[in-house]
Amino acid sequence: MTRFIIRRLIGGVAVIWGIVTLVFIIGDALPINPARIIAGPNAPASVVRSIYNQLGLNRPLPQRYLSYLWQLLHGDLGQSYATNQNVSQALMQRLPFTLELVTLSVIGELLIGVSLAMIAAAHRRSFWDGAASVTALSGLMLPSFWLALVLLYILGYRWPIFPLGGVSSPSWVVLPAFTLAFTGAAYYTRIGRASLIEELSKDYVRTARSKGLKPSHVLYKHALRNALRPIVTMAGLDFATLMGGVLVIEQVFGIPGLGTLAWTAVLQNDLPMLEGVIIVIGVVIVIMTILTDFVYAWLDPRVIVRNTG
Amino acid sequence: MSLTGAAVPAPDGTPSTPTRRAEARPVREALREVATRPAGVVGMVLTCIVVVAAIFAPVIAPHSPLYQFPDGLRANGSPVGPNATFLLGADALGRDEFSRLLWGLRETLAVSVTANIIAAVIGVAVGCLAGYYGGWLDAVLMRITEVLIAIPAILLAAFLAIVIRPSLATLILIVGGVSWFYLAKIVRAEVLSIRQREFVSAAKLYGAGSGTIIFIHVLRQVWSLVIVYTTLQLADTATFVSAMSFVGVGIQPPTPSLGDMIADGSHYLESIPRLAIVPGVALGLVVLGFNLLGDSLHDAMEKHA
Amino acid sequence: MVGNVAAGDTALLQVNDLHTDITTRQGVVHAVSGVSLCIDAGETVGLVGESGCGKTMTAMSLVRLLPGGAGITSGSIKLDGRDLVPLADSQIRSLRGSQISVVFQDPMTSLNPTMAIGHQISESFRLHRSASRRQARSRALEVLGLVGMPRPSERLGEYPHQLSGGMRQRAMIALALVCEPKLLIADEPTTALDATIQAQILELLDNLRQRLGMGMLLVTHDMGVIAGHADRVLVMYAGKIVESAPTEGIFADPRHRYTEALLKSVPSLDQDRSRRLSTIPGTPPDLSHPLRGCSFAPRCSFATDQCNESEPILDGETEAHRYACYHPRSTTAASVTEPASHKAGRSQRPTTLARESPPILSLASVSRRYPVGAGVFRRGSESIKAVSDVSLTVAQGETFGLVGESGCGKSTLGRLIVALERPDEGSVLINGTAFDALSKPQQRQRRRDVQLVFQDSYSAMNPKMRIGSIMRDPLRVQRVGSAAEQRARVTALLDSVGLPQRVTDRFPHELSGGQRQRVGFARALTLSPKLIVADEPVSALDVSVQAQIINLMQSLQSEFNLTYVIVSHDLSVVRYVADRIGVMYLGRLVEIGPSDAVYKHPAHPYTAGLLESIPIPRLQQGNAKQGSAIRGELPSAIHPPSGCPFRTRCPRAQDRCANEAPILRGFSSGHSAACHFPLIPVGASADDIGRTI
Repeated sequence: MTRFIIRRLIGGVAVIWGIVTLVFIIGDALPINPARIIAGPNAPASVVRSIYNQLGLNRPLPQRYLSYLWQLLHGDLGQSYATNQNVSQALMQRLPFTLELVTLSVIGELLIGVSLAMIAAAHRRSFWDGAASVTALSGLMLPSFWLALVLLYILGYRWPIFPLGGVSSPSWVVLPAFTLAFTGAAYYTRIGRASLIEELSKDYVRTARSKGLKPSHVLYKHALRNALRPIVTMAGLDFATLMGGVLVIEQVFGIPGLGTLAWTAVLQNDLPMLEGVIIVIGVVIVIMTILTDFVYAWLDPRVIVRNTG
Repeated sequence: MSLTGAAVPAPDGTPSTPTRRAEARPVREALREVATRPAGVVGMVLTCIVVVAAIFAPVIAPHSPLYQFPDGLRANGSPVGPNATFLLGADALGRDEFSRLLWGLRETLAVSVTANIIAAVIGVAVGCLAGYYGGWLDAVLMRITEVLIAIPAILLAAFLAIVIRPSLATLILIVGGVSWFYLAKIVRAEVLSIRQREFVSAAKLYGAGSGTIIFIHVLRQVWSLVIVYTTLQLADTATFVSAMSFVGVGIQPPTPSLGDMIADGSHYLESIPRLAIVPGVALGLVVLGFNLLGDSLHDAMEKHA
Repeated sequence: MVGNVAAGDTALLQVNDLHTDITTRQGVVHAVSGVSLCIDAGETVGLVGESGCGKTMTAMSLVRLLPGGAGITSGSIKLDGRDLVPLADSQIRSLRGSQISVVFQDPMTSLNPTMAIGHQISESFRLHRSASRRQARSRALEVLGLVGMPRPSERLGEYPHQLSGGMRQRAMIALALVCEPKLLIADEPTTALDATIQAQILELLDNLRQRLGMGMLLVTHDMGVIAGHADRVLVMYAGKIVESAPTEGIFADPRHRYTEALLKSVPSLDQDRSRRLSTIPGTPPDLSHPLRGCSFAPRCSFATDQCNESEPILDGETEAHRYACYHPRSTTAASVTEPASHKAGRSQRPTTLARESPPILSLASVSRRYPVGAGVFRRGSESIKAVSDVSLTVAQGETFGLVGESGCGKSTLGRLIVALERPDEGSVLINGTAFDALSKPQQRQRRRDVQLVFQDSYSAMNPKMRIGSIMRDPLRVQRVGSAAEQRARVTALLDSVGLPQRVTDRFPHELSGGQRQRVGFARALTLSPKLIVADEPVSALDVSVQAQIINLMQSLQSEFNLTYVIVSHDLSVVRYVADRIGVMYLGRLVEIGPSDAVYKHPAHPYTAGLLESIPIPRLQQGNAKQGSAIRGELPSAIHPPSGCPFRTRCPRAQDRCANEAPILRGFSSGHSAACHFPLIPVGASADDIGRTI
């Protein structure tokens, strides 16, 4: 078991190293001169050059890479080109909002998705199956940022139950989390339904029925646990997509999270800030992926044996 | 006498029409199968409408999507609602919403389709190479894919978009470049399992080389998977491209696009909600069409797998 | 025992005129039509038939565990006099697991992979006996002990994947018996298991039935299993029972023509190898369009107009032995086990052939290892020796049989011979040359000479290609002939394997299993190979089809002058087709010799045990077999036992066996075995032994 955990952690660190390196490669290959951005468009060439040297951009590539890694290890992500703010501090201020939204969205989408899947699979080819599928499909077809706008208009403006944006009211998270959960749940319903139906047709389910167990008991105690495996796998793969959705939704709701930080940075060519966002988000995603691996191992006792035995 | 057992039975009602069918059965036959399902028909019809509208936008659109009509705005500066001239009304600048919708659809689809072709080519190539040859090549390709998957595609696209100020062509490259990761993983898994299948061993046994095996046996199996995945992915890409507009790195104004229209409309949400809602519905129908079609294709092909 | 047919009301289970239909898109399939049977307490009734005959549907109807769309349409099922058919689902549920339990075929898929064994066993005890968690646990422990599970308390917390196949089936039996049901349905309980384990499980079921006084319905396709373990036998065909008799009656005096044909098509260990196996032509009927007359009439060589027009009823001279046939086999005819079938197709070949013709295949000290748990950090730390130091030769025109239980390395050896895999040590020579010693073009040329026929032809064919393309592909790849010539070759070969031309337009899934296996042989023959390795060529097929394929293999051998290496777990089949056989255990060749010598006078205790464990479709004295059946389970291949690999299960093992690995020693002409304490004296010829015994 410990061996399994250690292997997963090493894998996670490797992916983070890969992200960091990729960010460095793309950042370094940029045709933008950061010194020019800092100095402003009207600054004389000599000023730009001195800033260029000050930033250490005149050093050879390997040296720049190593010092970049060294600073990262100390939590130093550099200064914003646009505002001269410390990037790490800016990220830490914004991170809690994004994390809260992500956590609630993941929980929400799994709850909605798995419940709909169970309804559909338990009452296969009935009205309930159809209703669950249509609900899932509507979530699938609606672009999340558009649904967000519509919800804002209806529940924020027409009937102002929720704030029209920002995070001043504690209920700020409800609409964005629901938007993401509802649009994200469709995939889980689809996969979950297929997976439950497959599990229900397996031999061990027949064995469970041959013991005289009730259909609901067979569904919850036998089939569900096995059917959750592809759902968990999917969740592990899907975190990046979900994160992308979170970042866009933040923009719609005006939530001061990492997303709005990133999009502002894009408009301002604020390279260190954007790199910082990518690295932090990458770390969050890797951690969540490792957690899903553990959940998977808990669901399926064969995993640990296969990976360490 | 044992040989009489060889008579081909027509078991349990499978049609035994000895007509010559094309060898490339999967796609054609699957489409025929799709046409028998309600969801499949809806998907096909929606997709056809959307595609025809996009292709013939220059012909169908009553006005230029860019011209700011003076009579599109009222005296107080607010745009006019739907009327005989402006079928869906005008936007905040007095441009014809209906024409912009058609052109926006055209641009959005053009980007999605080309980007998806690029993504499919890269994904299949990476997946096949990694899956078939295995070893260090597989390890390297898959580690790279894993790293790329761990960054939200929209952030990666935005990051690339600062590097290369997006023109339409670079946008397509960027979208294609961030859309192949999952396909590569799926194709690799499929190739790995096909490589284990005994018909590949059988082909090796009669002397088939890697080329024959990849092109005749492996790709033929992967093909239907790629078709289904790409159809479903088209829906996601259309949304993705629109979301890019929303955060300012998508198809750049004044070129009309669905995402840009929604993003523009969001500024007038309280006064003129239709500006955000109408293009959103159009995008929703695109997504729905491709999803229904892709799903039905998947089910139809599964049956023949 | 004989009287129980009449004792309807007192029987434990009494089924009357049961009909079960399956509604599908294509129509209604009458899977079970009019089955009646009864089972007494403490009695085993065998239900035997080929796949699709409705035997499993009959069994599952008893507990209403039917697939979607299936349901009982009429009839009665009385358990202790209470009719189960009108009961509500909830009432049936209260009977399942407590009164009637089921043991399923494949313990790997029939146990929940993510639930601990103890929990799975105790679940129904808690449900039906309202037992506490602790009581259920101690009951589970008790039952695991009852079914002979070693170290039962450790097993409670383990998961199915941590157990071996035999252990899993023991767990499955424990699960079924935890509430001591009155009736046990065993649906092909040993089909997924190896011969030695099969014997252990069947014996266990017998013992438990006697101890608990249960009635048992043993559903199987294997006449051999029935012979040793059932009191009465019901033969099913096309959803109906066609013959019902005490076990002695079925084997000594089968009356229905189908039963007779079924018994004849199984090769037995003492089958006269010069005779062709008799087969049943055709395929079973389509159950959605029932025939008017006897369902077997279209395949029956005794059928008359009467058979086609009206359906015979199940009746007979005695209550105990009944059959539904207008032209039953007469009691005075010769015994079925010595069928009066025609001599054909097969010339008696001298067993000395091996030494006279030059070897086409020779293996010298071949070994093949697989790394276990390959990972970046642990490469090469441990490995399984799938094949270990095997040497043998096969002569031109010979049929060599390779037998052993699953995991013994026989299939790997087959793949090494056809060069799908390469040996880590030693050499595989075809006509004196190794594959790797050849240049690329020569290797391609070599591919023509050696072909493999797969166990599952379906998986060996690209499902998206038509049969015509599949068969032409080898010719295309090897650039043999023009397109027209290639097509002509395909046509000719289809003819040789007895398939009509129109199959070229079909896809693999449109053919039956037997037809696919014919295509498999036809494709292997396209390049005119000299040596064909056949990996379990008939084990996926029904008995009657199996006989067709075996006969086909023999006629192809003489037609195309082939050499065969046949890999199989089925000793009866190998004994029938092979001139010489090799027995493998844990990657090693433990015995090799002419088949008659090996079968009649096995030298290695493993071979003897293996032969002992084969269920023979014949009545034996004293019903169940006793004796030297192999105990225990296959040891780990990663850490095989020191010395002789078989010593952990060997009744003759002594200290020497642990310390010193035995080498192959000769007994008689070409017969040798690797054993320190062989069953026959070293150097003795088989004939001498025959005389002394």
